[in-house]
Amino acid sequence: MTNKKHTHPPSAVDLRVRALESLLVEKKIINPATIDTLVETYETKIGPRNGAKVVAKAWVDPAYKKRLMDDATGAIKELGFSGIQGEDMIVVENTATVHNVTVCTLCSCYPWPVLGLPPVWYKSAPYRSRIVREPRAVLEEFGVKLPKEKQIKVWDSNAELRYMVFPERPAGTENLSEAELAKLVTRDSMIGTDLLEYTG
Amino acid sequence: MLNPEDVPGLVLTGASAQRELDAAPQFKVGDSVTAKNIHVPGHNRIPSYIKGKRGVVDRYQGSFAYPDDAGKARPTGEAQHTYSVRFTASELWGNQHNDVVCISMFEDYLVQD
Amino acid sequence: MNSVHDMGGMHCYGAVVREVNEPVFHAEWERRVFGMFIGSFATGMFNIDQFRHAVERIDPAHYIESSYYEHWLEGLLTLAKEGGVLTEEELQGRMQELSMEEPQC
Repeated sequence: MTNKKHTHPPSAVDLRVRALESLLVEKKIINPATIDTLVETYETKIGPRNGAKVVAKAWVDPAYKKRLMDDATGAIKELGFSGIQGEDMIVVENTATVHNVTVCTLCSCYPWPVLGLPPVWYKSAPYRSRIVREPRAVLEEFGVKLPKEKQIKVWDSNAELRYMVFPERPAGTENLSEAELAKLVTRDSMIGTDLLEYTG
Repeated sequence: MLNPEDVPGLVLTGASAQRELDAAPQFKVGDSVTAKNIHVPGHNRIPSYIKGKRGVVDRYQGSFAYPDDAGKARPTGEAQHTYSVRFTASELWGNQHNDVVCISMFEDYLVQD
Repeated sequence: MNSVHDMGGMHCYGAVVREVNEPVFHAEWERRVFGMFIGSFATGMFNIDQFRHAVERIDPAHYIESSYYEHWLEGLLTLAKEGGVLTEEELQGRMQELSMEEPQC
């Protein structure tokens, strides 16, 4: 939870996990092959590339963007992304006057279908404790410096809605295709801890 | 038991906590509300940093299983309306920034000002 | 409930540290915990709020010191025990058996 490296190589933890799995398998609650399939799904199929496609499409297609703002769950599903930890979605739009950033202070809620599983820092005590109280200081640590006039909206996902930030389209990208635009979109820009730039 | 062939369907469907609710929402967008100062030993989803603080209903967010009930027993909780409530940084932290925190609140966590 | 999981606004946790090119999982045991969570959730062993509540009841010192998937592990164990799926004795016994199987070096 703290900033320590994640895997303080817990042979005790490892043993506990193996014991639990072996008992749950024996009691026919868990099929070990299912664990492999679930892990493979979240390691290879579901990740921030999904969200990037949503963002890029909304940049080039105003009708899609309107649907995304009105009914994020439905619009995201149009691209084939839905389900666990994104059953009910909201997309919040960054503008010239408002910057959005998301957190879950009570646990680690995160929109899996569009962003995959959350990075360790998102689940960490420093991020969860500080982003609501001093968002500007935290964002500066991420290299995001916002003008004083710009309002920061921090979205604490403490209930069952999951949030994705819709970042501003970078200047100079007028001639890029949807696929090229999708490559510019970073995971952190959809959490709200990154601003996108296009350097050509 | 969940089998490998069930995984794609499960992953794409999930388990929405949204629940139908006939009763009308008690609050509307723009209402001034105060987060209740609740301290219970059981599960709830009202963070300490907004308890007793005043905010404004930002948007209605639908009706969902009430976590305080759902956390206790296997049957999911009764549905309640939820709202995104906006709290200013000055109300929460006493600073001068123009920033806000928007947080999802179940109806039971709020009182009208 | 009021406990350390309720972190919004707390001081003293330090800077946010990010890992470059972070993998989805950092160890095999994390993969197993993740899969067990989804798998047992799908059987109806618990709902999401019961799971959160189980994590919130972790000893506060351990909560702070341990990593995210350790929280999930402890949450799962609590619910498995409370749901009558297994006992602490069974767990200890199985850990003992598995540790005997490990090569001694």
